[in-house]
Amino acid sequence: MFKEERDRSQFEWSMLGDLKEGRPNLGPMTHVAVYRLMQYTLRDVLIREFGVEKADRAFFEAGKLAGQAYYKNVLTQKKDLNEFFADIQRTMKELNIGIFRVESTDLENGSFVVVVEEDLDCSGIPFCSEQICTYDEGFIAGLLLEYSGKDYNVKEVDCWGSGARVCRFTVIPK
Amino acid sequence: MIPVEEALLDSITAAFHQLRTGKVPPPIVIPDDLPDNELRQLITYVNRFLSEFTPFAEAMEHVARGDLETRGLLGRMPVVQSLKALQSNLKHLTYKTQQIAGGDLEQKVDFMGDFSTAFNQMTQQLKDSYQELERRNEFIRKVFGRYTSNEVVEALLDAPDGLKLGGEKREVTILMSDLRGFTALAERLEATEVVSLLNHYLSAMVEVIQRNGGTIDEIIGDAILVLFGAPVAMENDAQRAVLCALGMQKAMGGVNEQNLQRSWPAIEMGIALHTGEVVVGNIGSVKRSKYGVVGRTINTTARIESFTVGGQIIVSPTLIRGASQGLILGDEVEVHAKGMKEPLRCRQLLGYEDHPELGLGEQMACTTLAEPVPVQYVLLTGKHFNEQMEPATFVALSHRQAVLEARSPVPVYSNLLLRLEAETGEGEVPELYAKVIRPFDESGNRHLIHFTSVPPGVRARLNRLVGPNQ
Repeated sequence: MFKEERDRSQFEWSMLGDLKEGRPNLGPMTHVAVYRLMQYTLRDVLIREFGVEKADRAFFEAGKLAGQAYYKNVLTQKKDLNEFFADIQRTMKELNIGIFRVESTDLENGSFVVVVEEDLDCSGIPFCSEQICTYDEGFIAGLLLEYSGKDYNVKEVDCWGSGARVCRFTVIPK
Repeated sequence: MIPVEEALLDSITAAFHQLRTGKVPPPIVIPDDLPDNELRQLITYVNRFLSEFTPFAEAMEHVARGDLETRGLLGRMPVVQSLKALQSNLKHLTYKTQQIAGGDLEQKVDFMGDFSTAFNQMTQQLKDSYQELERRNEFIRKVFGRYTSNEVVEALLDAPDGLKLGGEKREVTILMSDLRGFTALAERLEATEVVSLLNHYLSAMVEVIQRNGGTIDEIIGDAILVLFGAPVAMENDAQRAVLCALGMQKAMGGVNEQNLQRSWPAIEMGIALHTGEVVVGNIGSVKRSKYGVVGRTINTTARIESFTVGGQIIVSPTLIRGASQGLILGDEVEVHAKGMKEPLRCRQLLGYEDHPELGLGEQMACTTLAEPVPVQYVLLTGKHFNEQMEPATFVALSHRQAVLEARSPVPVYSNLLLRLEAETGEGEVPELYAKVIRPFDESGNRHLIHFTSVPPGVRARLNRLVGPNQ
């Protein structure tokens, strides 16, 4: 299930387990630092083993898979784009993932600019002149793939890592 | 000690002076021979600051003007990042406002301090107001939608000022219709048949009324009271009322065709049209009220309507003036009413020039009978009538009218109960009802009467007397 060799995704939402049963005392929440501990140690090992490009690719694809699963299992309002964005905003706030905001939409070309403040991945990290929210890029691409059936180029153009105070993503259809 | 060239210090001072006075200073030129010391380092930092601050200052100016599409800002200065955050928030608020303007009142803004609270309160307020408006609109649709056309309901919703439920005086055209002889007819039919016949007839009439933008104020049994000009006044209220009345009479042909197919008797309707001032508003108690009208105009319309016979439309002088040109009018009908010094000189309405398809035509002429048919009649006055029957004869006859020759003059517009002589084998004396339309000739004793209620047995006998083509 978790450790089988595979050439296509076997991820299922149920793999996250029954948190009520499994953590009756500690509950479903943990410290953001713990999440980042896994994120950055994993990144470190992946870069060492496979190089930056492949590590980034792995984070993007994992984020995309997560975005697709999040769409299916968390979001409920999907009637139109505005409702969909509002639902992302609401659920990301409720789950303390980040403050999702739409900055602009170009419906004619199907492109958007969205920002995430207080992002789970990067807000508060040291300045490094890098945009490091590759997982978020994949996550947004996964959400939009499930919503529209289309592949999107999601690019982080501002990041806490590069000195900004919000993570800004341009979203353009492929 | 570092040797300092005053000119370099002056250029640094000048750069900051320019900044303070709102100008954009150029980078400070570093002489090639300046040693790599603290002074070179200082000027390098000042130049870096200038290169980051200049676009920041320009962007600030753009944002202050409301132009959020400024070019990308570089640098790590917190003030630059704060501006980017402000720019991002403003863009997001623009997006949110656009969504609200598009009708999505579920939009919320988070984590923007007092602004979030104010914005979300505003959205909630808008949502509450919208829901309240929807409730009111629903109320209007419920109150009026069943009885008036979609156009009138939409006009009401578009112009809330035009609806003063508290009551107001306004000029309206009233259409009042009633089936002739329906009470007598209803007594001969089963209760379920009466209801079916009425529903069938009313459905046809309501369809015509709504098509012409009338508002049905009351349906009492077989009588219909329709308003043109309330709750919403339109330019052509009188013309629409005329077209509606003609359309209703025309639709009676279809109603009677179906009645015939169901073995129900044919029915006839009289219509009155009158224009005048009424009080309109929500009338009733707190528990039960309805939009309605009161006033002398209503009573006058009812009075005019009582003068109609089946298939006839009588219009008042004020309606004729209001409908302007194009009315095709028939005989004058003098309507006397309580409180009126002079009779109201009404006219029979036969059609409308622009709508020849709605013309009612003249009543069929009566055939002179070879042998007069003896009858007895009595005048009906209100709910009581004189039981003393008077002898008379039918000297001419059609399916709907007759020429009655009496021994003495019979008042015009009076209602008559007529009895034919029973034929051999007939158990009951055959009775029918009629209204006196006008004197038939100069003799004073001959009157044109219009049948208002003819039982099936009597109808068969009249058919035999008249023949199939009359």
